[in-house]
Amino acid sequence: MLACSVFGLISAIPLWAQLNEGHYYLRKIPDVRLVLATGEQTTLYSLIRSHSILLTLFSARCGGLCSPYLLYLKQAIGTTPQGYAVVALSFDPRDRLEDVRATAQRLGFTDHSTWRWGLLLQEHVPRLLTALGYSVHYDSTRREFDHSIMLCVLDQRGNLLRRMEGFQDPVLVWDLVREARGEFVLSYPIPGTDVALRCFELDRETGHWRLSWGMALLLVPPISSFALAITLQLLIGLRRRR
Amino acid sequence: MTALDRLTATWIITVSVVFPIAILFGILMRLNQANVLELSSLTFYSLMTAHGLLMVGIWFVMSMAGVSYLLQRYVNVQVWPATVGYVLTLVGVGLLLAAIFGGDLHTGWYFLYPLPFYARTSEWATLVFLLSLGSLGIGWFIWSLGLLVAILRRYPLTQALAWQHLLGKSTPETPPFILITTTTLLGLIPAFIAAVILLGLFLIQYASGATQDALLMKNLTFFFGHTLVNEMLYFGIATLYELFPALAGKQPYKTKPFVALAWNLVLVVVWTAYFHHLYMDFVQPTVVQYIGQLASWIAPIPAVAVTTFSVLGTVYRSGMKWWLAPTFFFAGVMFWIIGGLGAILDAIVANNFVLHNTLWVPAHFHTYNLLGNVLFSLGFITWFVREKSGDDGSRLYRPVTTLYLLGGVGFVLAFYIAGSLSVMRRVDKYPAFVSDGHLWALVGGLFALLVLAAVVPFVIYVLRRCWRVVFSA
Ligand code: HEM
Repeated sequence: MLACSVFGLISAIPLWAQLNEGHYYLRKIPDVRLVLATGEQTTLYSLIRSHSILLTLFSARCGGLCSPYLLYLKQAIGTTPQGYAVVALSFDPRDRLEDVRATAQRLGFTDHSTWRWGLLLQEHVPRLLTALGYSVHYDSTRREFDHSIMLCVLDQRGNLLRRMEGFQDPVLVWDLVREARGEFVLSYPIPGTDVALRCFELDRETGHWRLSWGMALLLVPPISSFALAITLQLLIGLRRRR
Repeated sequence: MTALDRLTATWIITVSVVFPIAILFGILMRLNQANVLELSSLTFYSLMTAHGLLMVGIWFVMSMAGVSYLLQRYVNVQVWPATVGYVLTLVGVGLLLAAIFGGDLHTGWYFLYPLPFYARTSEWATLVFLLSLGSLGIGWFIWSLGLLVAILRRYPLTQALAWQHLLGKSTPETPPFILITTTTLLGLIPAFIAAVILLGLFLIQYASGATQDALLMKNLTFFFGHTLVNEMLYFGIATLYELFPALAGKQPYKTKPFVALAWNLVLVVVWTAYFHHLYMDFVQPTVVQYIGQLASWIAPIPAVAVTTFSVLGTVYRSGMKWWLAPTFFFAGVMFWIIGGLGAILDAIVANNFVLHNTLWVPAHFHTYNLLGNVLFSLGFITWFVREKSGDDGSRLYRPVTTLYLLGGVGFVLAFYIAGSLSVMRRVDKYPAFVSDGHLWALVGGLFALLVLAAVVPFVIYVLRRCWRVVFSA
């Protein structure tokens, strides 16, 4: 029930209202240290050595979005990634390795070889969150974190390739999967309001686009060329008659 | 000597001085790609920008200078618009070189948005570059208008476009030179208007910081750039139509209905051919991509077919005396066909997925420029020099044509081979996975040295004679 209601709420946040993804594109993500659920100490860069990864962050003791979000990701992309890896890391300083393992198990990940679950080393958390544009705020009355829910793609050099917040259409999640597999995925910034002349307008409510005045501007040069030639012709004729 | 003689000789001198320098820039780039030289990336991309812009600029103005000169055979050509064109070109080129070598502007020749705001080390370089663009655009616009007015004073627009021949009438007669020049000028003027709009949008961003729509900017850039390079080729063809039959001792060409049809078609279609530069821009509406595909076929084919048959027919049993001018014209047409085929192959959507931004692209445009359009202009230059000095450069004939054609063919072949091996264009040092690129860069660079070896004595020969024209009483 909770999952449904939260899902309904968050999926209402349209893509365009999210952070400007282009701002983060190709940003170098720091090589933070972490402990995997298996107990192995490692770094983020050693996880991307063999594959690009889909990375998401969570808190094991989150009573809000984390579990529904991780479930939603599991449903959208499955548990056995091929040609890429999925990494879920806890950012919560209170979480211990047992909490991370329990979360994985609760969500049906009994085999640790499918997704990689882990715990970030506390002193490295702020650097990673800043680089990812991941906002976290501790609410002392609820004793919980208010935080983003986000999935991103890191390539094998540690560059951020894609970043998506919230519960979106699974088709869009698959765009991230394809990106992680190295496929060519079409993406373009959603036009802002600061551009006067555009080729297209986007209806933000429906997501439909239509041609705009920028495209019409391309007709100006040829039309004015003919208009100019005809005007010159008329002027020359007029002068000759005079 | 008339004022137009002197102005034409001045154009020839200016172009002849810049040409070997721009070739040298090209050779430096190729030797750097071959790892024979170690230029910094910034130096490489500045040289690439200077090379591309200078080459396109000088051969555009030279083709137009040739047409302006020959136009006086039919109409009264005023010298002042061409003089304004010359002065503003010098100002524009001066500003451009200052931006490139003083402010490290390294956008590449078509300065794709938003590169002019980033690809430079000094902020002033952006403004100086935009001013240079303005100066060149205004100068060439005034010059083109001057020529168009000169034609329209004698030939009404419909006649200048040979519509009476399209309808099957043989009189009044429109010479092919007038038809091609008119269609080319009418095709060119919108390119300048597109440049003005583009410049305005760049300046708005420069002054206010408001960003522009990247797709719109790219469309405008290629409307301007692609159309300009297409039309300069057509100016070269106009010169060829005017001079070649006489060089073969034959009657001037006549405008047959299919010739009129071909060039009227070119006039309209050339504006949409540039869409093939945007095949990879998936946000461009799909219908536009289809138009680009069709236009890329329609724009060159009629003109190429008509010109090739005319030229071959002219040479056949003509007893032509081969010297520099006819050889340049004839070779120019043949390589134009080869370069055109290379371009059409690339402009097919399916092929473009493979060839896009590989060295196949410089391969085809160097074929129809270095071995095509430049040869048309060199043909005009040698014809002009002979007209004014009586010297046909017979001593230079064998060494210059052999070195230039051999060097040119080897140079473009190295581009074609590397392109078909997927070696990418615009890269200063090739990564390991396209290591074939080094070898072909070396081969290309060595062959380009042969071209330079041909150009230097030719330029000295031309400079000496044109100098006398400029300073004659
Ligand atoms: C022997 C003479 C020439 C040499 C050695 C030469 C060499 C080169 C080289 C090495 C490049 C860079 C290729 C790459 O890696 O992308 C280049 C680009 C270019 N060349 Fe040439 N070239 C010559 C003649 C010409 C001529 C005659 C023209 C035009 C009329 C021309 C126009 C251009 C243009 C427009 C570019 C593209 C620049 C850019 O990508 O921004 N070149 N040339």
